[in-house]
Order: sequence, then C-alpha cells, then structure tokens
Amino acid sequence: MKCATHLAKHIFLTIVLLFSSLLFGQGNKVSLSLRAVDSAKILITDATIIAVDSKNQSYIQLTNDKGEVIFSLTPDNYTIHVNHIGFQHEEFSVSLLGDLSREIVLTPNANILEEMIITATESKGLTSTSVINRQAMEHLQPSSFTDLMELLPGGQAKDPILTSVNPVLLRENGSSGYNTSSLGVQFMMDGNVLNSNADLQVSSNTTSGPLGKTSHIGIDMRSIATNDIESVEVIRGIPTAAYGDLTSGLIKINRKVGYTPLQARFKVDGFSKLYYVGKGIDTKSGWRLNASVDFLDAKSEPRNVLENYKRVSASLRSEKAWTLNDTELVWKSNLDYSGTIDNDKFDPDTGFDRTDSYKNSKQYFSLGNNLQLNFPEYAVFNNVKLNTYISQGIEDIKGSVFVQQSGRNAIPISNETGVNEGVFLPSSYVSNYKTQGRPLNINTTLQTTLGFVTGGISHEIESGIEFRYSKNNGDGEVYDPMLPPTLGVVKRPRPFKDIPASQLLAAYIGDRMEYDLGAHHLQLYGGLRMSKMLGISKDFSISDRVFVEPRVNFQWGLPEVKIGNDFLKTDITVGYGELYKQPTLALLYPQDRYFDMAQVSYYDPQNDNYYAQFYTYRMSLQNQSLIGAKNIKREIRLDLAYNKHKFYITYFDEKMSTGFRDMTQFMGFEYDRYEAKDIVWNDELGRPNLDSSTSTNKQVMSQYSHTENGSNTFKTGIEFGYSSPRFESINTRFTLNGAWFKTTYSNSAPILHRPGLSVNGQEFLYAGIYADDNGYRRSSLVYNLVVDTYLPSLDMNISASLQGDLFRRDLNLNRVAAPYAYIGIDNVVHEYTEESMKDPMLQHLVRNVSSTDGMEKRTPFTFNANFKISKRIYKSVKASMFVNRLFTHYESYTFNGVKVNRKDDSGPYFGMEINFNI
Amino acid sequence: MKFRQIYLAVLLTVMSLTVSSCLSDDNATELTQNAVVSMTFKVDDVKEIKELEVEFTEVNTGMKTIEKAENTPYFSVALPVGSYRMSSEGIGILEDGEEVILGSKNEMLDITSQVTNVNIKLTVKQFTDDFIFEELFYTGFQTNEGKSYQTGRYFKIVNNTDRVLYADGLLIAQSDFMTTRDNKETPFILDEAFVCQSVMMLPGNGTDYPVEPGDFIVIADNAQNHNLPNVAGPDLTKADFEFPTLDGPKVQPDNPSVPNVDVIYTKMNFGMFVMHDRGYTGYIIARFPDGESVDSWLSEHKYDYSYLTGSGKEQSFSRYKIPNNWILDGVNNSIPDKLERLVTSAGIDSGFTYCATSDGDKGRYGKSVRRKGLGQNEFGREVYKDTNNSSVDFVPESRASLLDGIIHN
Repeated sequence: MKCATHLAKHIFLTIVLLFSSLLFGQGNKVSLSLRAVDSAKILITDATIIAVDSKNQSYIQLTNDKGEVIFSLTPDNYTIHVNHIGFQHEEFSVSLLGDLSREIVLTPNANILEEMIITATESKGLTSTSVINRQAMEHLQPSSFTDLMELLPGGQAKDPILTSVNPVLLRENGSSGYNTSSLGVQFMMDGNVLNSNADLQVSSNTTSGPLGKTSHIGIDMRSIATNDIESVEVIRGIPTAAYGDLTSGLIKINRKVGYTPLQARFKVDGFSKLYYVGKGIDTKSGWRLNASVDFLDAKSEPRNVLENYKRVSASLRSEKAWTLNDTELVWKSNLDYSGTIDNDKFDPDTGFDRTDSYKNSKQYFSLGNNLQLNFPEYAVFNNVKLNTYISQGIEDIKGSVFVQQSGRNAIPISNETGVNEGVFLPSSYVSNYKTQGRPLNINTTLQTTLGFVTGGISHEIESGIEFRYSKNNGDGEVYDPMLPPTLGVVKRPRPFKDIPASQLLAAYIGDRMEYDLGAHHLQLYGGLRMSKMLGISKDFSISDRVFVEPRVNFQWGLPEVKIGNDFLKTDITVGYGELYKQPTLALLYPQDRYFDMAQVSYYDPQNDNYYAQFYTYRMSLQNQSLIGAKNIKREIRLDLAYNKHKFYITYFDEKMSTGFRDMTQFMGFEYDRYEAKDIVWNDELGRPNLDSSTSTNKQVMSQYSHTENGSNTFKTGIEFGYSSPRFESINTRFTLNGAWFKTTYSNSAPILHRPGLSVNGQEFLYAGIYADDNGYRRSSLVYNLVVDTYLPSLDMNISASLQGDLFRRDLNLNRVAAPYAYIGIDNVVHEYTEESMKDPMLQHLVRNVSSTDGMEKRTPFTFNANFKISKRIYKSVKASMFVNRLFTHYESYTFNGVKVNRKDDSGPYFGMEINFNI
Repeated sequence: MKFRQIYLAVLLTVMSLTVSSCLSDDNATELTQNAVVSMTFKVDDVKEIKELEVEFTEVNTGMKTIEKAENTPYFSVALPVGSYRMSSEGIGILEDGEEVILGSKNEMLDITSQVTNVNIKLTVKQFTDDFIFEELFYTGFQTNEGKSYQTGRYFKIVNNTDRVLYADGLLIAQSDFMTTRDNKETPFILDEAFVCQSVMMLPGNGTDYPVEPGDFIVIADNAQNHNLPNVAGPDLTKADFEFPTLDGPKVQPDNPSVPNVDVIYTKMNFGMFVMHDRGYTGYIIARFPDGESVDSWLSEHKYDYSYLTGSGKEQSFSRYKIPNNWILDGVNNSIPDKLERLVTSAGIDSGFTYCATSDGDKGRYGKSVRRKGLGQNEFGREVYKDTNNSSVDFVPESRASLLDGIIHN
C-alpha cells in the first residue's frame, strides 16, 4: 500500500510539473534537448537530468531509451546536473536563449565499476573471513541465508531445500551423524548471538519424521532472511577471544541501519515465493529507523500443496547517537519477530479423509539493546560496549495421526522401574500430540577497548565479560498416554521446564598490536577466553571446569615490491586457536530411556479375557562426564595484491576429537515370560493367576545410546581466491575461488555393535566391542569461476558462474571385522579370542566388512554453468533472473571395476525477481 | 462349482457258457456262473476320462482280472460270480486340458446275481509326497482410513498326500534374496541351498500335530480376529499356530489356545518374522533330516555372501541357508514386470506367482496366492497341483481364502 501511494505521488508530481510547464510556457518557450552518451557513444538511459534556473527552480527529467531529454523552458541561465548511478556526476551551465541541442559525454564511474562486487571478498584481516555485501546478495537472488554459502570458497550453487532443516557447513564435505561442526558455528545478528542451546524440540510421532529437528545442529539457515542484511562476515578462521561457545566458525550478520528508499522485492523460483518490503528513515533529530517485513512461502515441490514451509520476519531497528564533551553515546535497538512453519498434511491416498497432519512452528520475539560509548581519540579508552539481548521463543509441534494398531496391542504406562500392568489400546484411534518449547535466551556482554602506543607498538586491548542464559519453559511433549501417536516408544514425555537452565559465563581479553619495522608491517593478536558453565549439578564433571581458549594471529606485511608500474603487496598471516562448544541442554539432559519387557501379553479371543504385564526399567541417559567439544585450529595465509589483482591462499588444519556423538550401549536384562498357553486364568480375579502359571526365564540385551565426546572431525584444506580488476574495455571482472577440503570423520572411543539377528526365538545376546566404526574420509577440490560484466549505461549486471568439482574422493575407512572384546547378558567385558570365533553364537560378532572399504572412490570432473542477470528496467525498478545448471557435465568414473555414468538428475533450476527502490 | 459327470455304462452281455454235455459224466461238473457287471464311474471336475484300468481280485482264489479302456465310455468285464476287491486308476482331463490321475478306493464287490450295478466314485489321486503350500497371504490390508494393516497374514499348508502327516518340526523360511533385484551375489549357492532371512519351526515332538490327507494347517502371524469395524480382515482365532511378536517395545497379544512357533533365525530384531507385503521374496517348507537340530543347523549352515552395487561398492552379509534336499516345497513371489530372477533352485520352483502388478498397487490388499485345485480326494478334500512351477501351479491375485473363516472339510 505504502509503495503504491508513493508511486501515485510521484506520478501526480510529474503530471503537475508537466502541466505547469505547459501552462506557463505558453508565451515564449524554447526547447533544450540533451542527449547522454558514454565515451563509446552508447546511449545512456535513465540518467537524471536536472535543470536549475536562476530563480533556483529545478526541472527534472530522465533520459529516455534514446538517451534524450527535451525540456521546454523559458529563456534563462540554467545549471544542468547529470546524475547516473554508473557515471560520474556532470554539471555545466547553459545560457538558453533559443532552442538548443547538446550531447553530454559521461565518464564511467570507476569506483562504481570497482565496487560492483558480486562475489564474496576475502578480508585482509588477521584471520580468514569472507565478506558478502549487499550487491552480491542482490545478484545472487537468495531465498534464505543458505544460498549465500555458495559464495564461500568451496561452495557451489544448490537448489534450495526449504522443507527440511538447513545446517551450516564450513570448510568440510559433510557426513550425516557428525553434527558438532554445524552446532559449533555461531550466528550473530547485529552484535547479538543467536543462541540455540535451549532448543529441545522433538516430535512425539517418530514415524512421520521429525521435520525441522534442529536440537543438535544449531541454527537452521533457512530461517534467516537476507533482505535486510547489509553485509555478512563469515569468519572461517580463528575469531578473536571476544567470540566463544563455537568450534567451527562465526557468522556475523549486519543489517541495514539508516535511510533507504522504500524497497520492495518479489521473487519466484521453482519451489518458493518471497515478498519483502522495507524502509529506512533518518529523522531530523538524528534517529535512524528501519522497518521491514519479509515473507517466504515454499513447497517441497510445486505440485505438493500438502508439505510446505513458511517464514515471516518483521524487524524494527533504531539507532540514535548523542554527543557530549567529545564523547559519543550510540544506542542501537532492534525489535525482531521471526516465525517459521513447517506444514505437512499427509495424503495417504486419494479417496480417504486426510486424518493426519503435522505442523512445526517456531516463533521468536527478540529485543536487542546495544549501547556504545565512544571516547575521543586522545583518551586511552576507545569505547565501552554493553549489549543486552533477550529472545523468547514459542516453539510448537502439533500433530494429529490416525493410529491403526495391528490388532489389540498392549503398552506399558508405568513411569518407574518394576513390574506393572499394561494397558490394551483400542485397535484404532486418532492421536493428537504436541510438543511445546518455550526457549528463553538472555545474553549480556560488557566490553571495553583500550588503545595506546608504547615503544612504537600500538595496542588495542579488548576485554569483556559475557553471560548467556538459556532456559526452556515449555511443557515439552504432551499427549494422552492411553492414545500414543506411535507404539514402541522407549521414552516417556517430560516437561522441558523441569530442565535446568544453561548458563555460560565467559571473560576474555585480547590485544591487537601493530608495529612498523622499517617497511615491514607487523600485526599480532593474542587473546585468551575463559568460560565456565554455571548452575549445573556438581555431579557433572563440567561443573567445576574452566575452559581456557588461547587464540593467536600474526600478520607480517612484507615491504612492497615495485614490479612494472605498480607495487606488489604481500602479507603472510598465521593463526592458532582453541575453541570450545559447550553441550546444549538437549545433550546434557536427554530424556530417560525406558526398557519395557512384556512378561504377559494374553488375549483370549474366545472369551475376551485379556491381560498384559511388563517389567519396566528406567535409565537415565545423562552422561555426567560430558564436556565441551574442543576444536584446535591452525592456519596460514598468503595474500598478494598487485594493481587491483588480488590473490589469497590459505592452508588450514582443524582437529576436533571430542565432538558429540551418540554412542551405542547395551544392557542385559532378565525377566519372566509367561506364554499365553501356560497361563491359568482366574475368573474371580478377572486376570491370570500368575503364581500358578509357569514361566520361563527370558534374557535380552537391550540397545540404547547416549552422548559422549566420542567423535573425530578432522578438517584440513586449502582455500584460494583470485579476483581481477574490472577490465575497462569489457567492463568485466574474473573471480576464481575454490577449495580443497579433506575431512575425516571417525569415532574417537570404542564402538559397541550387535549383529541384527535373532536366533532361537530371542534376540542376540552378545555385543562386540570394536576399535573402529564406519569412518569416512572425504576430499574434494571445488572451483568456481565467476565472470561478471557490469554495463553502467544500462545499469545491468550479467554473470556466469562456472563451477564444479575438479575431483572428489570418498573413502570408507577400513574396519576390523572382529571385535577385541564382547559383553554378554552378564554385562561383563570378555576377551574375544580365536576360540570365540568358532562358537556358533559368538561367530556372529565378526562383522561383515566390505572389501571396498579402504578403496577410494575417485569421482572426476564436474561442470555446471549458472547464469544470472540483473538490470534496472525502469527508473527504480530492477529485474533479475537466474538459471542454475543450464549446462552441465559430469564425467563418468570407474570404481572397483564398475563404470558409473553420472548426469544431472534435476535439470536446470531458475527463478526471477523484481525489486523496487522508490 | 461346475460339475461334470461322466457316466460310463458298461453293459456286458455275458454269454452263458454252454456246458458241454459231451463231457463224461464222471467228471464232476462245476458250474461256473458268469455275471453281468454294470459299472457307473463318477468323478467331479473332470471333462473326460482318458484311460482307465480296473483291477478285480477274487478274494478266495486270488485270481486277478485287469481290464483297460481308452477314450471310451464303455468298459467291459466278464467276471465269474465271486467276492472281489476292486480298484481303479486312470487319467482324466480337466476343463483346462490338464491331465490328472484318478483313482477309486479299494471296494469290496460281491457278484452274485446275473447283473450287478455298481457306482464307482473316482477321485483325484495326484498326490505329492509331503506338505505343500496351499496359500500364502502376505499383502495385508488397507483400513477404511487408508492406513495399512500388516497383520492377519498367514501361511496355509496342506497335506497333499494320501496318508496322515505330522506338522511337528516343520520349517517355514523366507528368502533373503529378492526376486525383483538380482545382485549377482557370490558365492552363488541357489543350486544347493535356499538363503533365508527368517526361519520358523513348528513345535511338537513328532506326533503332536497330525494332519489328515488333504487337510490343512494355518500358521497365522497373530491368531486373533482381524475382522474389525474398519478392517475387512480374517478371523484367525482358530489358526493352528501363530508367530506374534512378544519381544521388544511393540508387543502383540498371544492367544492361549494357539501354540506359538519358534522363530529359530531371523535377520531382524525381536525375533520377528515379517512377510514382504508386496511379495518380493520366496518361501519354502522344509524339515530337518534325522540327526539335525536347531543348534547343529545354526553352527553349520551360516552363509556369507557379498555383491557389488551399481556404483562398485561391495556389500557383504551373513545369513543362514537350508540345503535344497531338506526342502519339501517352495514358491517364488514377485511382481510380473519387476521379476529379475528366482530365489529358489529351478528344481524347487521354476516359476513365480504374484499379488501385486506394480510396486504401489493398492489392489494387492486382501489378495493371496493360491495353489490350483485338481479335484477332490476320497474324503472330499481338495487335491492340489504341484509341478514345481508356481507359474502354473498357483492362481495369482486370489482372494484370501480365510476371509470366509477357517473351515476344515
């Protein structure tokens, strides 16, 4: 609406202006005809031409598609201003006495050309950081933050999958089950941490799949809209000590503050539609206010109306600065709403009522207040910052499912260990279930920066304390235990509000020193972060641990060397850092595991007598020795710059050997099994007389899992990038980036495994203990060459991104087939010997290993060509479109003598959008 | 049912033997009186009788008379008066051209008068030498709400012999291999054994569960009434055996009057024997030979195999195998246009049968595969065709027979 009225105003104004000139010009008007061209005589449309007369009255017109404007003016002296986004401003005077026609030659705006960057740029700072700016995002046309990952070294365009969770991966190839590295990426929005430590959402209906489960992966990138973002810094390397509770990296998002025209965006692609409206104002009193609304509607596929994802975000931001005695106080405040809904209505078959539905909604209200005192330059204190942030989440999973039991099934309902009577469920019913999460996150940071110079060394000392509080006040899973959504659950619902809060306190100090040694420029950052978990029971070993994270970065700027007409600049940067991600509430306080063993499951259809009895064992899955996952990062980088040619190459090595891992465990149980045929029914009691019924002793080995620091994620790799200047004659820039990643995922603690078989009517009663589990080593060399041309006269950007794998190598690590030990029903560890291998039962503990484990799968070259174009089509209207994978090539390969042909299965993916800046 | 009766009227005019009066009077004259035997042969379901052989044995003298007839409705035999035991055998032709062996019970026949009219009922005698599958119902049901209902499934096994058999210790196994996917597993052993993913063994000490000739037993997954308001399933409360899941967190009810089988091996947890609901697997009936026990089988018959996937990766597995010479009967199931191979040796079953015509075929629910009946045996029970080729022995996409209840003749 706003947009429309604004547009109407413009049109009205134009009409009034036109008419007024016509009316007053009846007498003696002369025409001024101007034509805008560039040095190559190419017409320039949409240049704003303002003619100002001696009475300071101005006449505005835009050049038409012939590059012309024709003013009808009273004779006077005019000052003509020519403005165009791609060209330098021109200003000249004309004395208009009669009709006049003139050509204006505009000079391209060199800065604009250089500044038009549609790729991520590598920061020249102390650690490897990709910076993505607004223009790059506009050209990329993202639906969510996930799409920006393409711009990082090693990134490739991917079709958006908005109907499932999008975890973040930095510097790795990815493997399911190894989530710590995505959990260990910290997202910050306008200086405040997006904390997911109190995320406990889980669906009670295990059969329909936990759509959108994020409790172990951290931030779901599809929930972050990009339209308000001014710039993103992705710190892939070692962040300073000011940032913590992360292992893999830090993503800092800065949103627009201050004046913007009324902006609107409408994007459509294969699976989604996106709408955005935003506006920023600067008031006369110095307030800067921004407001925006963003809406995304995505489907799993265009024809499927039943499974969809919706995202609504609204944001109100303000900034105000006061100055008093050279001291400036800046107050930034953000009020945000973000809501996402995963909807799934199951369509069992046409012709049946849709009884089943699933809805996973997450809403967050957050308020951030950042106060910063900036002291004058002469003071030792540079600034003091106080950031406070509070976020309340309303997370609800609501589902309804028609449950059909296979006949009459009994379930245990006891919540405690012991023998208990079971309940027979109706053979079919509708189960309504919900999971209510109410995460509350409060973060506070107080930080000061000191700056001084001693002995030629300039110091910038950052120190601060930080406190993060996360608590979930939700009711957790709620459903009628007599009408459960799924059978055979091994847990019982519990309220989330009973779980203690996660409280992390950290203090840090870091000094960034700069020193010029002759022509050498040296920078050294040394920092230390100490963190501790508060409010946790003494039973946890983490309770009395202080985690110390030293971080060092050093940059050596070599003297500039003159080659030809320009200087070659060289910087060498090295870094070392230790980083911890503390366990989240979901990892620290898992739900108790229930082992339910049926002693009686009696149903006599002849007289409708029934009775069930269970032996239930409740076990806490809390691992009290769980500690934070630690990642040690090392990296070295070389930066070269010569005449706007930039090149960097980084080698990194990251070792995380204490990642969180669900480790399988076994426990043996014995109980009495009464077979129905042996049961003596007692009509008086209305139940069997078990005392006079015969039972057999039954043994089981039950499997469960709990979280341990048992996972290795080792990342090494080389990231590189080159960007050329924009060559003037063709207005084209070449940017090549890529990465070689080698990631090894494996277990760091022994693995228990039981072969999945049952013999003699019962489950296998032994579990082997093996030194190694399925491990993976994945390496790849990915390239992305972007050729982009900017035509200022058309305000048009065209780019081709040629990307793919140079190679990819996958290796399943070798496993030893035989265990070195085993446990039996006695829960005691026995040695596994040659003799055991001959035992009819124990022989099964020798695993089926594959001869192709340890054989590297080498997949060769792939190539995808993606094209994007964006152009201002009319005044403040810009249209863009993209086609991904218009051309593809996937080279076939041979593995273990088998030739595998590959092709792009999904075909080209395209989308388009239109932007208004009014 | 369509009945076709064949009347074979055999009228035999027996000429009186003229006793020669020329014989000397010294000779004691023995007057042998001949009789006219008029026989009516009756057999259900048979279009015509191709050949017949009737044997008369005079019980006092032991004298045998064998008469044969081919493609003729007439049958002539001349017999002296006497006391006979009579038996007949023959070949009949069914409506569909199938030939069956016919036979009659041994009947006593006293031929005293000049003309004797005998009605002889022929029955089908195409016996096999042991138990065979009569029906496999593995598809399950769909509820009125469109949910699947994967219980109420069963095996129906018939004694297709002419003697009493005991079901004690019978093994029923499901193949690990699928007929819809030929992975070219190595080592290849189908010529010598059947590879199992699950094996159940019926209880009993050898003579606890007799089965009359032509009678059947039902082994239900759960012997309960599956005819529910929203599921048109069978009432299996009178099944002979059941295999409910009693371990693990999902427990089924146990019927006290139906003995449970032992699942002696399964690749699944909780001792589960789960039939493939689209019919990708084969099933066999077997018996351990003398001296073989569950334990000895488990220790001696593990089978490790591996194969390469389409992308060259080796997959390896451990299962159990049952030697082909222990197998009494077997049947391959598949989906006609997805069939890639058979999972039994051709000697056990050289064909396949099916319930589903495509993977997502909802029409398969409530359908079973049933063996073709050839006619009735002497107790009025069906005799079934068994040529070890289930493409011709079975009727695919049959209606599950127990939907009408478990009725023994």
